[in-house]
Amino acid sequence: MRIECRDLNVRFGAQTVLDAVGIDASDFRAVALIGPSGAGKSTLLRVLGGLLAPDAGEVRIDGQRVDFSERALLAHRRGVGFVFQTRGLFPHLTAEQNIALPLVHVHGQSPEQARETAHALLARFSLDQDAHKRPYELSGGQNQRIGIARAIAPRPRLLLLDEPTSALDPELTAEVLDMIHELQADGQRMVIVTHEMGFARRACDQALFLADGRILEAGASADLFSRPRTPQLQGFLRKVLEWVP
Amino acid sequence: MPIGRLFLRTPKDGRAKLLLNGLLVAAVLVGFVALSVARVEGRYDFTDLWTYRTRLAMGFGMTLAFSVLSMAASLLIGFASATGSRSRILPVRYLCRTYVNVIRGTPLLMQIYLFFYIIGDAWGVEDRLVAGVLILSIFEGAYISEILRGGLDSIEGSQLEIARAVGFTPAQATRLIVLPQLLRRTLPALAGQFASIIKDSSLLSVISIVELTQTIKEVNAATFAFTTDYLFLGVLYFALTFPVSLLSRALEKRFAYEN
Ligand SMILES: Nc1ncnc2c1ncn2[C@@H]1O[C@H](COP(=O)(O)OP(=O)(O)OP(=O)(O)O)[C@@H](O)[C@H]1O
Ligand SMILES: [Mg+2]
Repeated sequence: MRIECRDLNVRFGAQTVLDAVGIDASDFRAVALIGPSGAGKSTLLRVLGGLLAPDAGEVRIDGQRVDFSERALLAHRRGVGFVFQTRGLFPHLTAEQNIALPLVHVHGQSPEQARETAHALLARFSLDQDAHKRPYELSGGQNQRIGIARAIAPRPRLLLLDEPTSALDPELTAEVLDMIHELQADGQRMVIVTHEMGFARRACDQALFLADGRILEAGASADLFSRPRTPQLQGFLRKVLEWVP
Repeated sequence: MPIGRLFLRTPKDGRAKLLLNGLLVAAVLVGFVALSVARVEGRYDFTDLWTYRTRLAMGFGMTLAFSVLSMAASLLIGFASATGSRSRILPVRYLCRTYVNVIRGTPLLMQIYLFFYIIGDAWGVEDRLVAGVLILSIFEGAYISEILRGGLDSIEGSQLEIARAVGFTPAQATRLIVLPQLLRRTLPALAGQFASIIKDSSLLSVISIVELTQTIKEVNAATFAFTTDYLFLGVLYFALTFPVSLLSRALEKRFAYEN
């Protein structure tokens, strides 16, 4: 899998949130997108997922240019799974329905097929007892895992995760990261925005460092973490790795 | 045990205590009404009501029909207005907001008289029944519009983003995500508004629509059994609105914790 971005620009009013972002990531299993708060990580992920059209620049996935017209985006989104930071499920639907509804209405499965797919996934991640519960009856960790199950149910070629654990307690964070790690082992390609540096370093083979709307460093995550070149990344890692009073 | 304790709610009250208090209130209310009736030397006479049973049944049916038709029409008007008052097209938005404010800020009785002559004379809607449903629906639609607008506001913007992310088209997002959530959030309030429609339809009697209240007025002109006639009228309206408010409360309980 290859993701290329060229001269991506996103502005909100007078504020430039992504500034000439260039990315060329190929042959990766998982890309960790790291950077300080407000850097534009969520914005970049939304562009990759076809939820936001950039003001300028282009995105290519496996060499194919993403067409940002509304009609073409419907097709693009079908091939990409998206996991939100928090409250990503539909509150009026049960866990099973959350997974099955898009399969039926977007991916053309029959309702029985979709229900079976949903059950198989829930069982695989030990969520079978929760199939008929609604989001408000589930813990934050269960909510996130169901959100991930929904995102991978249609077998997307790319999974995008926006800080999937940052709203969770530490013990719940572990159960969600374990699930993501298991998906990586299965060959699911993904880009994950995360503040869990241990996970970014060990579970992701590549990393991007975004600060102030610019990509400052990119490459193998082992290199980025052990030999940060820019003072910005050095400062960022110092801050997130150890607490200095 | 001090006698006062009999009337205080505590965590472990037996049925007998609750029943006792209920009966007490019922006795006081019935006593008050009976006393009032006695003071004006009113009489209870149900034979007259029985004589006019067919007309009463027709009036009751008419009120029921008016209410059901107006519920449907006011829901449509209310939904259009709620959507319109959030529109990006400013004239549409102002039109809807003006409608809601003017209708909610003036009495129904005035609207009935005014619209009956405007709709009836200027626009040639001769049929009183059609005019009646229209007037009532325009009135209740303004309240329903506000209920639905609040509901739409309360559905988080992120729900639409999630709907897009899973691949839904805008039409699917509306049908599968927005409308079901809107219904859950607003059904209790809508049910309350439906009870108001039933009661408000009684005002249509002023343009001589022979619904329940007008029927009782006419019957009363013949029987002069004022007390029985109007008590009975109250009972009939209550028989219509009470189930609706029970339903409303049940729905409220069911959906309250889901959001
Ligand atoms: N829809 C929007 N309208 C206006 N400004 C926005 C919008 N979305 C994001 N921004 C702004 O763009 C900047 C980058 O936001 P973004 O959410 O992409 O950052 P982030 O790196 O994901 O931060 P965090 O780690 O806090 O999630 C912020 O200053 C934010 O206020
Ligand atoms: Mg973010």
